[in-house]
Amino acid sequence: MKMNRKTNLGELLRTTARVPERPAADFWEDFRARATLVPQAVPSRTAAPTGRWLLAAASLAAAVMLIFAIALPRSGSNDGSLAVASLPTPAKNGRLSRIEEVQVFLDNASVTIIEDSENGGTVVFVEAAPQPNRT
Amino acid sequence: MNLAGKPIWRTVLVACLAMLAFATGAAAADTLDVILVKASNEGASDAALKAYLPLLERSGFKAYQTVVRKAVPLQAGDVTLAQGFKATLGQAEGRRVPVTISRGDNSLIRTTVNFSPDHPVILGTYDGDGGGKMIVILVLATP
Repeated sequence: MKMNRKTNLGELLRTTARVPERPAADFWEDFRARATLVPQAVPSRTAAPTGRWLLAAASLAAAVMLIFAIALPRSGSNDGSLAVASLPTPAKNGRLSRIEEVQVFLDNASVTIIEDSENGGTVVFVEAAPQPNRT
Repeated sequence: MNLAGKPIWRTVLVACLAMLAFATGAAAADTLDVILVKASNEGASDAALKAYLPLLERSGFKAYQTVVRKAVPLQAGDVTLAQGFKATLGQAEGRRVPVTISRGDNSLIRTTVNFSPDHPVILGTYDGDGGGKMIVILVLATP
């Protein structure tokens, strides 16, 4: 008996106070408009990791740029020259640079190797007859 | 804040340290100066070559001018100079480096040099543009 009474009331309400039908788009537009009026709390749990990731990415990018600035001119092709300082003065003492082997590709060439301890250098002079232009 | 305790920061920290170690290693590499010089019997010598003149003068010329100078790491690779000249460094074993001087497609000399810092090696003379005589100076800079 109790249940029947509830059902009757429900049916009565549905027939007398019928909810006007609205398109879904209208409903959601209205919903979003109302939602903007209510201050939304930013969930701290999602914001903080994003910030950390951004900071980590920025740090990494800065480190990579720094490493490239230092190391790039020194790697790969030797054509990326380093900053050129003044020429080193030949040392008068210590071991000279040593020529271990020499192969000359010019015709009728003679090779002279001079180890000049007095002036701190090693000279390899090649004397050859004039070469035909092969380029 | 204990940053190193967080996984992300641990990763970033390790990556940064690894890159720093790499950069430090690269920065510590020996530097080789490669200088192409034109020798002639006219004019004055380049002031920057003053310290090298006693060695250069063994070639019998009176004046020496720097054409191009490159400072490169002591590692395998081509060093393009000028007038088609190129120095090719082979795989280094410490400071022992195979060096080939070539012009265009023609190899001129191949040698293996055991470099000592600040003790130059003079390689010459080779025909350059307009009948000029060219010399290559190799000198390992003091680290």
